[in-house]
Amino acid sequence: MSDPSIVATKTFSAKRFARGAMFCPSCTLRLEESVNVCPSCGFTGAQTMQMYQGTPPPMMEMMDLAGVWTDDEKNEIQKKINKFRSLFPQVHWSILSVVLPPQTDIRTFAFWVFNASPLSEGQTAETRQWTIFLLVEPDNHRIAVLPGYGVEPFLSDDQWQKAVWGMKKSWHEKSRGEAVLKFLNSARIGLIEASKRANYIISTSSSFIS
Amino acid sequence: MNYFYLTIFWIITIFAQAQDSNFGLPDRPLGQVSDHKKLLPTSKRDAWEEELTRLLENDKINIKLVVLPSLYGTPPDFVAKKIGEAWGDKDLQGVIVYVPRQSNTPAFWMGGTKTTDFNQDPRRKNDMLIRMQKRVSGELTETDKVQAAITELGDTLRIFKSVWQQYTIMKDAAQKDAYNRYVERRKKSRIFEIIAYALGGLCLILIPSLIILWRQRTKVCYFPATSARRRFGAPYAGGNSVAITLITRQS
Repeated sequence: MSDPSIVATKTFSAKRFARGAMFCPSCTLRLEESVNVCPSCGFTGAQTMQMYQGTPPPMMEMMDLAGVWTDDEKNEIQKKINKFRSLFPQVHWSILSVVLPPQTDIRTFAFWVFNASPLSEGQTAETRQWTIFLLVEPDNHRIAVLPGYGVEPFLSDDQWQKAVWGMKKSWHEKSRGEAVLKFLNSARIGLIEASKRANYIISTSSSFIS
Repeated sequence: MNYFYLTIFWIITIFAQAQDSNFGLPDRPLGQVSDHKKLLPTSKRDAWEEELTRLLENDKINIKLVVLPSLYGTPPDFVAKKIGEAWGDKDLQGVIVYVPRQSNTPAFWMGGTKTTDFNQDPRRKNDMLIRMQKRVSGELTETDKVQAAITELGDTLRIFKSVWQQYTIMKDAAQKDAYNRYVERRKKSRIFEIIAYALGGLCLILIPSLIILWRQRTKVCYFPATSARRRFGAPYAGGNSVAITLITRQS
């Protein structure tokens, strides 16, 4: 599909692949450039440390803190993640189910977990940046998806939204394991297409190598 | 010296032709007995005519009794053969040549495709003729000899016919059997061909499908490494998250 030697040795500008704009996780303001403080609401990453006390646990592939999935469902999801890993060696997954109070902003919570969570054994900053974080909050039926910096440019918010909406039917039918599998399927299709597109961009233009 | 041998050859040839030409074939009779010179007693002629006609009608064996005043020195076997070939039935026939008061008659000849085709060895046919000759020569009177010749030749030709029929039945059965075996073999080979074609077709579909499947399973997708668009002081993710409530409280 792509030449691993090229993609491994060169670093490209994220802007060339960016499918969508950047947003503030707090007020969802569209950002034209990378900023440390949101010009609208003044959000900074450090604020989340005060919003959510303590330290989140290290990010594992499956963290079913809310007990959403059965053992069989967890096995199926794990199998799917393993297949995912052989198809996309760079991409990692972290799926967390947790019970949150209804007033908790799930976006900032996901942001906090992703960035504040210590690296687990064998994990590096780079692998964390290539992680896609799926947060499931069962009591209020809320789902959040947060890609790391590595994956972020390749899929647009619309694509992620579409993948999450794909979970709705199974979720409604209480098949929550199947809902996650459907999400992973949609993500797989989106990532394959994104990989093709990115490699097409590389093959047709070499002027944007940073 | 050469002239001498050439002369001898011509003498022999002329002699042989003269001997052959001494005997003229009698006219073909309407019935089975040819006795133009009325040499046989009427009762005997009628009796043999009836017997030979019955043999022809019942057993389809055509035996001609030819009564001649003389053979003019021509061997009776030769005469019988000539007559048989001239008048004969192509399938199965016999000729008895009888010259009253001539010791080497009655003479026999038998022929036709059923005797020649079936019995390829001429010695066996010759043995049969010798046996008949012995049987006939055992009779005391000429009339009995002719009667014995008719009976012997009729019996021999009957044997030929029955053996021929048996042979034909066996040949037909063998042919039928061979045909059946051919059909069976053909059927088996057809089934084998159909199975082979079906398997071949299946392989043609299956192999590319397996290759596609294998390539899909072993496919690896890579993304180019990009410079991180760090923001909000976050080390790993900038907060470009999607948050959706799948079921509202109202629903």
